[in-house]
Amino acid sequence: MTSLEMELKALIIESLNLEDVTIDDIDSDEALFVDGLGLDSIDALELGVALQKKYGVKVDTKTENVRTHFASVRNLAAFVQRSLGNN
Amino acid sequence: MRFCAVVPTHDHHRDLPRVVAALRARNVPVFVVDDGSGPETNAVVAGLHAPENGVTGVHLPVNRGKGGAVMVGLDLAANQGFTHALQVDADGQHDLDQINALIAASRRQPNAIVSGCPLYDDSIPKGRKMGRWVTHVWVWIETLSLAIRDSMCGFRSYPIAATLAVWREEGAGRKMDFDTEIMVRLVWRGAPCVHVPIKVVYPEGNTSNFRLWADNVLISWMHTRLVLGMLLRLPRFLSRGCRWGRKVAGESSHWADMGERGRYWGIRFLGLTYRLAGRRVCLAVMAPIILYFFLTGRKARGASLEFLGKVARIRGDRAPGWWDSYRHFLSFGEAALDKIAAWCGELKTDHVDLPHGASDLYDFIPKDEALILFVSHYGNIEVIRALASRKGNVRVTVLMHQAHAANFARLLKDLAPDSQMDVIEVTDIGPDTAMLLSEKVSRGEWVVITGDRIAHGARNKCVRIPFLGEPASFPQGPYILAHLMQCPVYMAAAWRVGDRFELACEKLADQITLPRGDRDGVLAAHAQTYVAWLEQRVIAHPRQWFNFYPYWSKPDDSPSSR
Repeated sequence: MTSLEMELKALIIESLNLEDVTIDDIDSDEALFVDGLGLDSIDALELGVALQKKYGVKVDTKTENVRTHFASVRNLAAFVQRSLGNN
Repeated sequence: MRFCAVVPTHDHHRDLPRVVAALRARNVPVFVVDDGSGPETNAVVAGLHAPENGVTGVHLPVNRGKGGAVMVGLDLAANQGFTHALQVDADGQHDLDQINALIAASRRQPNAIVSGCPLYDDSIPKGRKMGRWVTHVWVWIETLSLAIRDSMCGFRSYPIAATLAVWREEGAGRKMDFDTEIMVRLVWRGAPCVHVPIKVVYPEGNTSNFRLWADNVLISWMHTRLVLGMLLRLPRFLSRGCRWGRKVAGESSHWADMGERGRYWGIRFLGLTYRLAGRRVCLAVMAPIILYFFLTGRKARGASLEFLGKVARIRGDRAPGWWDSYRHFLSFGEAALDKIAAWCGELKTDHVDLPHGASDLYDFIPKDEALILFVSHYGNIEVIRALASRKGNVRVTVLMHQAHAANFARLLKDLAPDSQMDVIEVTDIGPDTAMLLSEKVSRGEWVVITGDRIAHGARNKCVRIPFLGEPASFPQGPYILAHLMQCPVYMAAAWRVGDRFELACEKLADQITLPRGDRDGVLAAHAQTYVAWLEQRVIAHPRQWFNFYPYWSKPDDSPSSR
């Protein structure tokens, strides 16, 4: 687990108020939404806002496949990494 | 292209030789049509007749009026193979130095009607000047555009075939009403208008053939005819995307483009009329157009009657009829006009009554704090924008449904360039919108969102709340947005009462939080509070409600677009 992945897991737990979930409960490759962790579409938006606040990342739904970015912690980490690299 | 000139004359002979000489000096063949004049003019025309020298004199024993005379000339010219004809009045009041300019403009645009556009000097009589303005405004209404800047100038260049076709198929006034009517009818057939500036003077000792009473009646009747003609052609005009003629090759062909451009110019036109003539004149201009939409818009009318019926039941009024519904439509037109006025900066914000006799909008809303403003299609939200921007620095982002966003953004940029307002197109709140807005909120900006309409493509994202006695669909988006932004939420509306506006603004919540276990329940509770607040205002002033579609139908009742 990379440090960014760890950081993201902490952010997910904190921003979405997942009280009974710990960092170790989240698998980096596990699906975040619907199946795996069972988050809903409002959670996805909330997570997006949290990412924007913490890393200043932006997404453009017209050119990017947001669903893929948000599929798992690993994808999310790759996306944040790339966005930070571009800035 | 072959050019000639047609000079109609009725008892004008003093300046006739000079006019003919000027045309001949530029090598333009001339047809002088003597329209039942007296013996003196007869003699002058006969003297000028010299076909070998390019001047043909025609004598009409009975006066046919200017229109009749010009058409006789055009017919002759067409038979001799001419394609374009200058029309020059015989009284010499036109700027003959511009003959070549008219011809050149015609060569550049062979389909166009090219007209002189007079720059009057001080010799124009006052009454005549007023009369000209009245005609300008009527012609703008009749053509639904500002294309014709001057319809009364008798110095122009006609495409002969198109003009004769109008005359044969539709006719036009034969007398003083000819110049204007033939031009309007050419424009209806899609002819472009080109204007060439010319000097005009009223030469001393000039006798006018204008008869005050008879010709005013004639001209009033002509405008009646033309307004009716415009209304008859309106459906076709609209179906072509607000244009009269067929599309010309090379022009943009995207229909959405055209519709947008049409609306854009329509709004600019009204804005200009508002500025020049004021609100009452604009309302008078709009009344027949609104009547047209009222009569043809069966669905919208049905929706209006359904809505008014529900309000009447609650208020204990009698059931609404067509007249009430038409007044509902009229009030919509009035609100549209107020919006235009607001964009043009013409809306007087000191005519706004704030609640509890307060003097400042910021008595209700914190000035330097991020917030979300819930608005609706009730009344005129532009009033709030105008008020908010009066004090300056609030930066506002408005979320709008797809179809309107681009057009609105352009209008606003054009009409109110210093407006502190961004427009974001949104159908559904996605992560990109959420991120963008969160950035704005963190800078202390306002986000405005409508709480009374469901966007296309967001049909499953609605909540059913009782409204006027029956459940209706309201969007979830505003509440989700509030949950994401975690900033205060206000409800606002402003509406017209006679000559003034009233405004209501109240806090809905300091924060809206939708807990994971009970998102829908908490969302519905907030939505109920908002809808009840809105309902109270709607019942008080029902004609300010501007949702003209079946409001209580379930979103899945109508799978097609609305």
